[in-house]
Amino acid sequence: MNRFRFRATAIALAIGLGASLAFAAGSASAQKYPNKPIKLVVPWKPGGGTDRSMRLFAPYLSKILGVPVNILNISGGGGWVAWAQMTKWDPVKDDHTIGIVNFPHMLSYLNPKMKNKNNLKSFNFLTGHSLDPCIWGVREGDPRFSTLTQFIKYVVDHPGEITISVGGFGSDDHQAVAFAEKFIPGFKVKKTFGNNDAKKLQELYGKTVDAVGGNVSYFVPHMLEGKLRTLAVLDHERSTYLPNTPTFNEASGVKNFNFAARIFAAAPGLAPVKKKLLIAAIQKAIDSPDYSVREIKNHNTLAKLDGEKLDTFLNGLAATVGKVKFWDLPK
Amino acid sequence: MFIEETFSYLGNIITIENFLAMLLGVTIGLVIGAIPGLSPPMAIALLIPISFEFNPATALILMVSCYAAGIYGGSFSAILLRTPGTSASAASAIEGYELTRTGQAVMAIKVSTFASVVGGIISGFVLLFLSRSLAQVALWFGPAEYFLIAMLGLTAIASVSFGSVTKGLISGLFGLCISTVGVDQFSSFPRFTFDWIGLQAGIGILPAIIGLFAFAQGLELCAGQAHGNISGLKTLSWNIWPRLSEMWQIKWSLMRGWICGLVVGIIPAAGGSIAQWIAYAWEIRRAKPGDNFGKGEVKGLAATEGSNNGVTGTSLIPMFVLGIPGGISAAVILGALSIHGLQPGLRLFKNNPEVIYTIMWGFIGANVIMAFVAIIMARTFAYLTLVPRGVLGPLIILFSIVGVYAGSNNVYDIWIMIAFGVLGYFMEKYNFSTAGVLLGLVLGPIAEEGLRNLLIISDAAPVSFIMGRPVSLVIVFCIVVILSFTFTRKRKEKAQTEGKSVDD
Repeated sequence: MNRFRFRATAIALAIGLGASLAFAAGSASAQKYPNKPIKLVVPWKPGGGTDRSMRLFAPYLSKILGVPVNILNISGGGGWVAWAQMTKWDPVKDDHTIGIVNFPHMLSYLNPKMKNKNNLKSFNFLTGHSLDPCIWGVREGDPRFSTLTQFIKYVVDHPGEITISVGGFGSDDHQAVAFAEKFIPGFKVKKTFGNNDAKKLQELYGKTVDAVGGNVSYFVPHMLEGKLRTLAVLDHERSTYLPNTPTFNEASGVKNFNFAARIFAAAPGLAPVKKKLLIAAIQKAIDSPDYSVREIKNHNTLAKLDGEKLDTFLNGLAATVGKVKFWDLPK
Repeated sequence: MFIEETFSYLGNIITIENFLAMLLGVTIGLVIGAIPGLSPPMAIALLIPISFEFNPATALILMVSCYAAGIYGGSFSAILLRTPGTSASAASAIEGYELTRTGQAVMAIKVSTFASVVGGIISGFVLLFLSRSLAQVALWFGPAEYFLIAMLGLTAIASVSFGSVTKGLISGLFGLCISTVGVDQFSSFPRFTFDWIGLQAGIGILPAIIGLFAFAQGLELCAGQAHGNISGLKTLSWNIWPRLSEMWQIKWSLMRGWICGLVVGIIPAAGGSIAQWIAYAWEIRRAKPGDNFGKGEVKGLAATEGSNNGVTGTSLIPMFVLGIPGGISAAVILGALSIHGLQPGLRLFKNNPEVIYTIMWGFIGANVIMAFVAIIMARTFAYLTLVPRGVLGPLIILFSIVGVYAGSNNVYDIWIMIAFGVLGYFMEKYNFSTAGVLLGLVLGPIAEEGLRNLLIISDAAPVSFIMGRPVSLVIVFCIVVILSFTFTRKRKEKAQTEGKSVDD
């Protein structure tokens, strides 16, 4: 018994000592900002795209800020458990906490059913991190279609036959399909919901569905594997990773733009000096050659958008989502 | 030729870095897995920055070692304290803890280590030699199959609810009902959230499992006498190495567990938390007179422990070959691969066979190392069963709260956990099956998503759709056999007990 207690105390002491040493190493003088570890909130469970990208990013940001940057996963409510906290962060107490807000996911507050009182103004956005365009894909070698034009024609000619796997209701991928249904006459597809990117591809390869909506970074490796055929990129320009895949607009004449964007945010009302410092540090970290090369290998598209440009971008996005009103669309 | 080539990479794992990566991964996995609330994916994610500067194979060996050990670590706390560390070890809490309570903790450790390690090794060899041919199996599973797999899992409720089947079904239905709480993926409508943001994410499996098992156990210990300990022992035996003769007696149970694990592992998103219940229910159905299921039956533990580690290797198959991760752990491992500039898929097998096969051998090696680390760690951990109840109870309660928060960083989850803890305490008291609630909660979302997508793709004609899918038909067949078997057995039991009462 006694031996056990002694051992437990010794272990506890060792852990405590180790932790305090780690903290001591992390903190610099009290006047400087930042003077303690930065918490970086990822609003999803470990394993998703944002989580992967932030875990890759944290060491580079840490090098520039001179303090450790620790990832904190706060998942739930389609991101809103974390985002609701971000709107309430204290400018003094939480000045060492930053987080990621995902778009268009965050715009789910526009859906009146969510009864969410927050809006874009509730957040203190710092700068953009990345912008991953949406993409439509089909099985490589599908005899029915290999281009977007053929796909649209097939859907219009065969009503009720084609199914697209689009992830969650209201996701960027679902909104892109909803937009197409609204603006391309006769275009009507069945949609399977609730799938993450992995399950979408499982359904596509297993021939349960005919097409998938997703994002460039996740789908490019599957195209390179020779299994997925990319029909169109839902962006203003072609993706550098897919020079042979046309934009949706090029192929169909319909301006269907959608993407998954990640934007950094800090405590509302954070002192302007600190905000400026954070923005500069984040952008410098994004620009580190080693980091950007690693992100390019992952087919991610980095996008540093800040100040007025960021505001215009987000307001424009909110206006589009408010116009399409995906929550009112028939399934 | 292929086998020769595969074996040629075996030598790659015998380097100091790779050995240290295995040892580190296994140790961290076992510790984090054993703490309720901290899960294997989290441990793997924490290792990503550490492995930044490693070469890709070593980095990935670290991750897969941590994954294999994390699943096993969850069983320590399940068996010794009835506080499962991961959702994949919940079923082991039933037989395992009963064994501990009857003073057989060391025996339970022996069985679980043997079942886990050998299960992991077999699973590793399947991964190594059969992954390319088995990967296609993952693609047989669409919405119809997921719905039916969930139904198959639900049939386990009848077996694992000892005592009253009605009470078991009530528990299962309750679990299914609360699994509908949260934002609906098909309409983004918040269901039964009462405008409380804490419920928007739905009821997490993590807080539910910690509440139902760990917190309830803490309450139970606090409610009873403060002196005395849970094992009733004064000292623990050092007879910790499993003997083949002992394991031979439970060979069929081990086999059934391993087979369940290997098969369910290949199905993406099914994983250890389903395999263990199917294996356990299968085992109970094969019960012979004299078996002690529900009261500390080694065979039950062998099956659950064999299955959850049998899953580990095969669950990596769809990720490595198709780039389709079957669960959160696999998704984190995929993330780690891509951070090292590697994309999973057949190109990886073709262009970097040395990397992929070294990782797979590393996985097998990690399981071997785990045997030694785990058994010593478990034996040390077992000292907790000698601690007086009055100390252990509050400790478990404290750890449950800290663990849930550490695992999710979400204050709401603490409240949900406590609510489940109180519920679990009273359910145990009145003989309702907490396993039933858990099964409902785990399988509910799979069943719902499967059914709703099935209705969409089949144009609301699911029956004719299922008729056209062979895999679906096989699962339907299994369900029918199990149900008929269960009911005939229950009728027999009833007839027997009635017959006895007449004799009296």
